[in-house]
Amino acid sequence: MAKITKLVLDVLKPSEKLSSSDLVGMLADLKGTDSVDLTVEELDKKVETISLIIEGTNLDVDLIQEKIEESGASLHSIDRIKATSSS
Amino acid sequence: MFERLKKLKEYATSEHVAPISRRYFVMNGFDGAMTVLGVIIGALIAGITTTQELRLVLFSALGSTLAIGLSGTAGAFMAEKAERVRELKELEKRMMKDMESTAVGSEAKIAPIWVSIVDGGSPVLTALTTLVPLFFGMFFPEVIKPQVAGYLALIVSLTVLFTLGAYLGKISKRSVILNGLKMVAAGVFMTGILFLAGGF
Repeated sequence: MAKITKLVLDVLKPSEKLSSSDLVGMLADLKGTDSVDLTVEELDKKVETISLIIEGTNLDVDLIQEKIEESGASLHSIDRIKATSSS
Repeated sequence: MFERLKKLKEYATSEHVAPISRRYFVMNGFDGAMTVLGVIIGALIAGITTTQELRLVLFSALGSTLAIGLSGTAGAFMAEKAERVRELKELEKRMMKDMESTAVGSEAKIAPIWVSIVDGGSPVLTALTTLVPLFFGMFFPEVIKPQVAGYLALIVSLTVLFTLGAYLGKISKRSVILNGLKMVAAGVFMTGILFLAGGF
């Protein structure tokens, strides 16, 4: 079965109530994740649009989405996804 | 239960809650210490010579302490809750989603509880600490005479004020001693005014 190794996500998050470092740290701690790269794309009043590049050996897309929503952020779209064959 | 306490600690020490609790702790701790200081000075001016009089002063101070604690708890909870709900509603509008079940929503629920505990607890803590000599004076009148207990409580009260000021100095990374002395000055000022008023 193929394994997801890279995700590029478009996310909207509260700018003050959820710190970027907390979000990045929480996602980096997930099983199968090796690195998380956050870039702020747009700043608005109280919210910001960010781009997340998540890389790992076996990313759990559903879990990542669930954790993002739980934290208070909102996943807008999956802009890029990369999978490698496990065979 | 352990998990909930861990969560409470996590939210209480978060950057959105900790500064408010620190502010409330000092503000209301100061209120508690000054209120009891006022009662004690009033009692010293009027003169406390018997255990019965000391008992009257002690219970008056305890009543004030309880009232300050309860008003702090209820007031802080309602004010903080209103502010957090307003913030959350505004954020929900911006995020275009329901935030109640998220970490941000949980923090908005827990913050008022924690802040009200600190707000109600700090004046009770400072007031009860100040009253310790009066308790001793009441239970061991042969060791500490009522008037001596009053003066000891006055000293404890100024020490509590110094500690609060020193704590402010520590969190603002400024002089601990200078900040402590500023708080003591407020206490001494009030003591002076009351003794002067009592002289007339």
